[in-house]
Amino acid sequence: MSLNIGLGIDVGGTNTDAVLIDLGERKILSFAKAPTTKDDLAKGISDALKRLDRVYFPKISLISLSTTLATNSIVEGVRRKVCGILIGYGSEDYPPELKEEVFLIPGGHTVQGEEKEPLDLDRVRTILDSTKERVEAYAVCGYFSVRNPDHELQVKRLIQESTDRPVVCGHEISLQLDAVKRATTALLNAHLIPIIHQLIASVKRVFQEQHIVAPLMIVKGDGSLMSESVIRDRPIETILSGPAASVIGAKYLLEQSGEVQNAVVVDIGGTTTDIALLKEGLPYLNPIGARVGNWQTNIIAIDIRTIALGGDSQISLDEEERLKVGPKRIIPLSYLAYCYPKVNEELRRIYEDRSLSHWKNQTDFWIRVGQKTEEGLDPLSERILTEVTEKPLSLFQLVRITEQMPSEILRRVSYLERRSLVQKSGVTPTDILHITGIFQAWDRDAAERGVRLLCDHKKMGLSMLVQRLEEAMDRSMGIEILKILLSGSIHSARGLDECEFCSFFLDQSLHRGASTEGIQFKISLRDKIIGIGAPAHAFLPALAEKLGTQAVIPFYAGVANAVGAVTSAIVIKEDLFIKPFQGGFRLHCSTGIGFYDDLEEATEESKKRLRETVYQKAKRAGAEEIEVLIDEKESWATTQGGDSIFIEKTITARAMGNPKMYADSPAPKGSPNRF
Amino acid sequence: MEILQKISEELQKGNYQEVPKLVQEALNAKIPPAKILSDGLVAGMDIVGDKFRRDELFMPEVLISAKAMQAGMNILRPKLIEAGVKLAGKIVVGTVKGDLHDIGKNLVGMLMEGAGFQVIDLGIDVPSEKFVEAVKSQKPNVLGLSALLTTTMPKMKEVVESLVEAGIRQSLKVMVGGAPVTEKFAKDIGADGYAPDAASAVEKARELIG
Repeated sequence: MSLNIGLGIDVGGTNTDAVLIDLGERKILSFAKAPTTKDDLAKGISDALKRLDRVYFPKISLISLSTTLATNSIVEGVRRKVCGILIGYGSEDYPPELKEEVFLIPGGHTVQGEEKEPLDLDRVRTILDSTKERVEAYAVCGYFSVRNPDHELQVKRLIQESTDRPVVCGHEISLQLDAVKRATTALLNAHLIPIIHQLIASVKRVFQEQHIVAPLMIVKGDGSLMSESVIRDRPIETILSGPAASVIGAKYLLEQSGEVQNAVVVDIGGTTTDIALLKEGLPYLNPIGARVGNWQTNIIAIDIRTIALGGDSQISLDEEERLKVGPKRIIPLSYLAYCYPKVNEELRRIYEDRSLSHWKNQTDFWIRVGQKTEEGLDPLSERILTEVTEKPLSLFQLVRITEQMPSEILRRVSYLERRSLVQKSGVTPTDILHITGIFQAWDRDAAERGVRLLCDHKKMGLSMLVQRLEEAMDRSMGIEILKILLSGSIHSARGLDECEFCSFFLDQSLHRGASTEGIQFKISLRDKIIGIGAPAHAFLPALAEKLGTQAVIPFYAGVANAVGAVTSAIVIKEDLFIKPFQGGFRLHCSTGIGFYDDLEEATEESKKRLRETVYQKAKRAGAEEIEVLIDEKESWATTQGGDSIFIEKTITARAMGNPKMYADSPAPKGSPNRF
Repeated sequence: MEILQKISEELQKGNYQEVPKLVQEALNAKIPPAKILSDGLVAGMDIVGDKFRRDELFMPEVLISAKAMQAGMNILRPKLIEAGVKLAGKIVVGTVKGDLHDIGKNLVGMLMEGAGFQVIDLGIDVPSEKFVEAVKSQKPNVLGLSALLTTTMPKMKEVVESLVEAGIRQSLKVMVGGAPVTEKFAKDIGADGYAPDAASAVEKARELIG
């Protein structure tokens, strides 16, 4: 056993996964899952840690965490007390929803990096006087600050002189143009700062309790790592870190069986399926910036397509009695019966009672979630809630017990479902897998009874029903895979849904062996599909075959995200621009501007500056043995007259390094010497 | 219809005194304003544009025809608005900062108007911020930038970047033109289209917003 053991943790929407890896030998030592505890994420982490093999804990030299916390907080609209100072912005240059926390002050720059109007620092002082007692974090954005950060930096210094609240500038998060995106991103980031501080503090306590002493890294949305101390200021960069970690983990897990550089990565979870691409060994990133909820940010993160389809998706009949999979997540019947065997008796009774076979909701059960209740429920809702406490009941049982009309009961249970007071159970893809024998963890009889009820209602044979469902799921996933693969070539992916021929083509090619009008339609993907997530091995091989490729499911597919978290590296990428300016050359960098008469001189200076900038950033991010690569791209145009004119030069630096392991602080007393 | 044919012919000749009279006559004859525009004025201007592209007409002749077009439009425009005729689109044009050339840009403006576009001309020596303001307030479908000097060509990129910074780049198409400008340059600076001459500019604008 080598000395370097990494602890990878992924806090997902449903589960918290933890894995211990021998980083030298590239071997998984132990892994565990525990339910994510939304109110206190540290508890779920602590539960997962307790299920790991403790023997390795003293040897852990690196901890890395990916989390959906930032994404979820934004989507759920969590708001903290923040203040945005926008310099030289107009009233239309930021999202109106954030109006209340924004102050506009004179200043800002032009496209050339020239001062547009003088910065009014007195206004900033007044704003600080009225806000510093009540605000938790500041965001500072200047118009064209990515061409000249001077005003942002001046305001930041002033804030730091008069308060110890965190303050983050727009140009520190992204060097992309677009003042609106910049303000949106910086403000959302400010809202996340107190939230991430709480998380980091509570997980550190958990590690302390377990006597784990090691540097803590957090995964960013592009899959690279960043030290906890840096992410404290820029938590927005963790959006989509879970899916990004999954892609990196998938690649790592496959490396023993041969290098995979390009692949489609499909992560099938309980509620949703995420599709992403591995390109040249890295997660494929969305160049426009991640969209979270209704917000367009400038965070360059993994390009990911999510469909509301997973192992626990509800299989139901729509108004026209057509089979439908998703989007709702329910409890699979097989699992419900596994926990409450009496469900089987009721299913048998429904099956035998022919008078019920025309009912659409025959297979639905409900069970109470936890002990929560709500003020002002009507008597029938109250009654239902009490009846389904600790024992799931079918619609017929509820009708019998309450002596009310089914429609009245359905109305109540859907309300209770929406309020998360009860949860529904019914037929899901997981149940289908129990019948086909691919997945056998729970109660197969219940699954079969449920599916047979659906068959009888549809007057369809079991094998036909299974095939129909597989086709529906394959089509949903297949079309998303094609969309993400084509996103670089086809401007609007809507075409695939709207075009009649495309739709026909997809139907034909996704049906095994189908052929119409003497044409054999066939899709043939160049790259393999890597499947991760628990139900991947059940669904993906058949889909891959229809797409003319193979599915590869790594052995530890269930914890690929946690593996990716701890096996990734630190990557800092930054651009610098040289532009023509008054007969000479102006350099625009995150550290400021510069002017040179000579392009060569400007280039040399730029490279020097940028190399130092990314090196320092990588070091602060917790990297060691840092390697810096520099690329330059010069853009010249030839005029109609044949003259050459200089447009711009972009210098891109990329600093890469592995996370520095072992904590600087001494190991706690009683733990063995790790050297 | 004979009168519309006549409008087209007089317009090609550049008869800016006769064209408005004929337009009025056509209106009196209860011909729908949209038809006078498309089959009379625009039809004539299309022929002028074609001939100009084939070097059968010289720029001054085109300018005179455009003047005739404008004279006709002055009569027709209120009627078009009254009838609620939908224009081909809205375009803001201007020559970039540091550049004082305006003939090419004016010609584009006139031909665009001739093709049924609503044209807002910001003039010459227009700073990037002015273009951004105009796009914000006018909400055009197309922004047409003109530069005639190799030294002012880089300003076109600055205008595009200013639109990106203002968060409004996606709301419209940007076209560039002018003697030194090339198709590749347009692509390199992130514009949507390039046209080698005023007549093709009309085609390009139609294509871009089509």
